[in-house]
Amino acid sequence: MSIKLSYLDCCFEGVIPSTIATCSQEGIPNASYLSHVYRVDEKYVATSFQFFNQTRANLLENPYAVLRVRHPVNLQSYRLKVKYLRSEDRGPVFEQMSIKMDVIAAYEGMGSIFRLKAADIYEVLEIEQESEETDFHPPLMACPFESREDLELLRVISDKMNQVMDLEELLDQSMQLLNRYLGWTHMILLLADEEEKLLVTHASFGYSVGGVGAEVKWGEGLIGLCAQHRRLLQVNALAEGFRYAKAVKQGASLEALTTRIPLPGLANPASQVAVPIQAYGEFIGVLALESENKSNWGPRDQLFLSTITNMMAVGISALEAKGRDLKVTSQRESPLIVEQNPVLRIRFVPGDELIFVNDQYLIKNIPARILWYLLQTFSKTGRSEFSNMELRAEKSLNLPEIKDNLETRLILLRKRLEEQASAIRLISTGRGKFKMEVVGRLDFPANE
Amino acid sequence: MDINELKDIIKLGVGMVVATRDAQMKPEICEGAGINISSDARKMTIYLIQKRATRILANIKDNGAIAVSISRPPTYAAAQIKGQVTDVRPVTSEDLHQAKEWATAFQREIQLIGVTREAAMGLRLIPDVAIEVDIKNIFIQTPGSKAGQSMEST
Repeated sequence: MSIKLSYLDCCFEGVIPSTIATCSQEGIPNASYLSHVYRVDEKYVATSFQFFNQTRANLLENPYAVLRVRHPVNLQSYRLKVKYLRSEDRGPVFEQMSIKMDVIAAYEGMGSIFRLKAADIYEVLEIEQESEETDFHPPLMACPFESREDLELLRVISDKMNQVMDLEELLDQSMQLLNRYLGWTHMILLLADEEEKLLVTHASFGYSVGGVGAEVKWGEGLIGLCAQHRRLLQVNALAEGFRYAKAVKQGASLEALTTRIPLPGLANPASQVAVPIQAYGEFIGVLALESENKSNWGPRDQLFLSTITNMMAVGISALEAKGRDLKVTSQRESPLIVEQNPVLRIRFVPGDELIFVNDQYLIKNIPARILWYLLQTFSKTGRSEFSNMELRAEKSLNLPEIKDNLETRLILLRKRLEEQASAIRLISTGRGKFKMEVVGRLDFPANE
Repeated sequence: MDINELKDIIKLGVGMVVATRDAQMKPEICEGAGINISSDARKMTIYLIQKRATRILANIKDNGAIAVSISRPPTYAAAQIKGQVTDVRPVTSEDLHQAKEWATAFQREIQLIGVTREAAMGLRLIPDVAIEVDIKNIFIQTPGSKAGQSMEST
């Protein structure tokens, strides 16, 4: 086989539909479009079996077929002579294909119709490149991750990531590095709240609205499915109007909408990808990217994404482990904007664990409990200095015993305060210590 | 989908693939470069580029069995036409006119699924062979409950 199957990876991304020719025992040929062709390894490919059709009937009678796939950028096509071997309704190939189908089904709202019955496995006997098809010969990105330049780029990014001093800097800097060195324009970084089975936006890049605190439940949309399955997932060639948030928004109650922080998203993305961030067997979060221009996230992008999210995961774990050394906030001391009426009405809803400042929803769950505790303590005792150790020991906060993610929760809280209630600030005073500044008079109308 | 809808879809712009088989029942595939269905849907002419269809043409010479699948890229609306080849001949100026209309529509449609204008317009789609086919069956291929049904029975 002169052309390696992995060289054709870009053709398997589903941007241009692939086709298959089969033949019945009686000699009637059949041509059909395929929703997906997957490369299993260098010798085998798989197609999805969703409906029993003539293609499948023919394959059961006569296993020889020809697949035709096309490169999404230069439109060069390739013919794969294949032999159908078997159908698998379990195992790694089936699982991987099934997840991809679930993602598409979630976007199309056709879950049960697109359910994968089996992965049809074929041996690839021969690959041929179609001749003289196009006058368009753009320089193609290296499909496999093979160039020295790419490795050098990776080294530069890893060097820069290793230079960060704290968790907040890592979360913010990572996306700036991806933009600077890889040209990716729109990104969201969400961290997992295992207890609540949801992801919370901690940083974003490229959007007019930051969306810090925006949540995605596990299993919802591309990001939620990525969290659920712990795999890189992507959707390409999206129809106009799709957004990350589309699936999330559907079915949301009115009450939920009043406390919902909108997830940042492009109005008309061409493609989206979500990558799990995990290290040492622990799921940390998801990095989600989207683009208005790219038709797909090819193998090179995927290798960069997987490697960089691995580095981020190790960085986050390491910086959380030395959490007592973490700063709660940056040292910048921008002047506070004091409003005419400096009354700060604080309302905490214990059952739902929501906190409102001047009737504006601020944050929920543990960060809400932390802020409530800080404000109550400040109000009753006048004390404004706190430590992470104190928060960990405070029973009313009910922090998880094994992994409390206190530092990331404080970063989230500080960012939300910056965005929504700038009269309350958390300022670092040393390792694991901070002070709260409140400009205005605290009022606890319904809760006192 | 009925025959009139099928004709409308073809006018809007469709991708088309042609399948044949050899004497050992091994299938072959190539891309078509235009299609024209008669008003009574009993005959069709399809256009091919000889250089890319050598085995397809050899199979046609051997047994004449042919299947053509057409699909509108942005919607996946699709149909398959099966039949028997009755003639293979060089293209005429009228054929080239028909094929040009098909190519223009096809190049417009694939830009809707993310193909760049440069790539779409760079495709070489001028045919040199016309294949005359007696149509035996037309099947719906749009994914869904009617997929696989004969067009007459819908």
